[in-house]
Amino acid sequence: METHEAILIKQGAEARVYKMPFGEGRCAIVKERFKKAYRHPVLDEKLTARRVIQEARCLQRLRRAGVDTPTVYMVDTPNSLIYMEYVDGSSVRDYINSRAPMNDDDERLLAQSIGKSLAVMHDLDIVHGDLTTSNMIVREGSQSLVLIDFGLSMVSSMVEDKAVDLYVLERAMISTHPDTEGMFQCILDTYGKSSKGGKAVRKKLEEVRRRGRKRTAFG
Amino acid sequence: MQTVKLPPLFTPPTPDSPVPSVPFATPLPDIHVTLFRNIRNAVDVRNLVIKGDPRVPECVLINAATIVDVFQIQMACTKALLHQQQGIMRTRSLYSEILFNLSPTNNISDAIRQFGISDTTTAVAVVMVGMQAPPEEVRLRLLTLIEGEPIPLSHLPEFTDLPLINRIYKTGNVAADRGQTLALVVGAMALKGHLS
Repeated sequence: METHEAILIKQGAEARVYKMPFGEGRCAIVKERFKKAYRHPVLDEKLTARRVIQEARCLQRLRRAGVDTPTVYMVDTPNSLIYMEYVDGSSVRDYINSRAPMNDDDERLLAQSIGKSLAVMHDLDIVHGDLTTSNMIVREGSQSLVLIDFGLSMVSSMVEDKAVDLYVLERAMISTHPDTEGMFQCILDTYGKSSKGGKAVRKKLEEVRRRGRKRTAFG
Repeated sequence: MQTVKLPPLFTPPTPDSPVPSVPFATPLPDIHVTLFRNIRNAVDVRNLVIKGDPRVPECVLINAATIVDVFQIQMACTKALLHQQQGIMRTRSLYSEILFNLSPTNNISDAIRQFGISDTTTAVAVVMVGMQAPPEEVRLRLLTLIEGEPIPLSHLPEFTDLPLINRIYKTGNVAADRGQTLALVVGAMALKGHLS
C-alpha cells in the first residue's frame, strides 16, 4: 500500500498542525493536541479530550450560525486529533500587507465582515481567546471571512471576556499593521451595531484599554 | 458498482520521536458503492437484512434520501474503520457502525431506522468495504436480492431529500446551498452527541 504524506505546517505551544491530502480534490488540516507530560496521564487524557471536542464544537456552532469556519471532518479523541477542511485563501494578515495601503472601500468591507463575524460569535457566548489577523482567512473565490484556530476558545457570557477578546485583536493589529486604527474603529462600529450586547462590550473595552488585559487582583 | 477511495487516516508521530517534519498517513481500503433506484421489494430486502440472511452479501444499505454527497458516506466509513482499529465501535459490526456514524445522535436504533432501508425506501446506496468476493459475483448477488434499477453513482444527488436532512441534522436556514448543507451535515456527524 502506498503511503501519503502529511506536512507539518505549524507548531504551537498546544498543538501541531498538519496538512494532508484527503480524498479526491480535498485537503485536510489535522490538528494534534499534545499530551502534557507534566500532568497525570489519566487526568491529561480527559482534559485533552474535552479541549479537542470543545474546539470542534465551537467551529460547528459558528458554522451553524452562519459564520464561516473550517468544516469539521472528523474528531479522533483517543489521538487528540481534529480533521478539518483546509481553507484555500490568504490570512487577513497577508491580505492587508499585500494590499497596503488598502483602498477605503476594501478596508471598510473587510472591517465590516470581521465586525459582523465577531458579533455573531460573541452573541453565541464564544470567546475566541487568540484573535489576530493571522487567525482569520479570506476565502479564495467567495471572499468570505473565515475564523480559525479555536484552540484557546472558551464559552463565556461575561462582558469582560468579550471585551478582552477585542482588546487582544486591537493590540495585535497595532503591532502587526501600522495605520489600521481606522480599520479597527470600523470593526468596532460594525460589531457594536450587530451584537446584542455590543454597547456594553464596547464600554468595557474602554476600561480594559486603561488597565490592560489582566485584571488587577488586589483592590 | 463504483469504487470510491477513502481519505487516509493521520498517524500521529510517537511522543518520544524527535519532531518529524513529514509523518505519514495510513491509507484505508477502498469502498464500493452501488446505487439502486425504483426498488420494488424494499420490505423483503429489509427483512432479509434484519435476519442476516446468507443471500445478503456483506454490505450496508443506505437510504439515498439521507445522503447529500458521497463524501458523507466516505466520512461515515472512515470513522467506522478508525473506531474498529481503536476497538471503540458502538455497534456490533462495521456495517452497522457506518449507519450509526451517519447519525448526529448516539441513538443506535434511530440511526438504523433513519439511514437504513425502510419499507418505503425506493433508492439505496449499497456500500461494501473492501471486496470479499469477485466483483462480478457480488454484483449478481445484489441484482438477485434487490428488485430495482442499478444506476451510476453520479445520480446520487437526485435522491437527496433536503427537508428530511434538515430535520435530521438540524441544519437550520443557513444551509441555503448544497455545499453549506454538506458542511453542516459532516460537522454534525463528526460531533455526534457533543452538540447541544
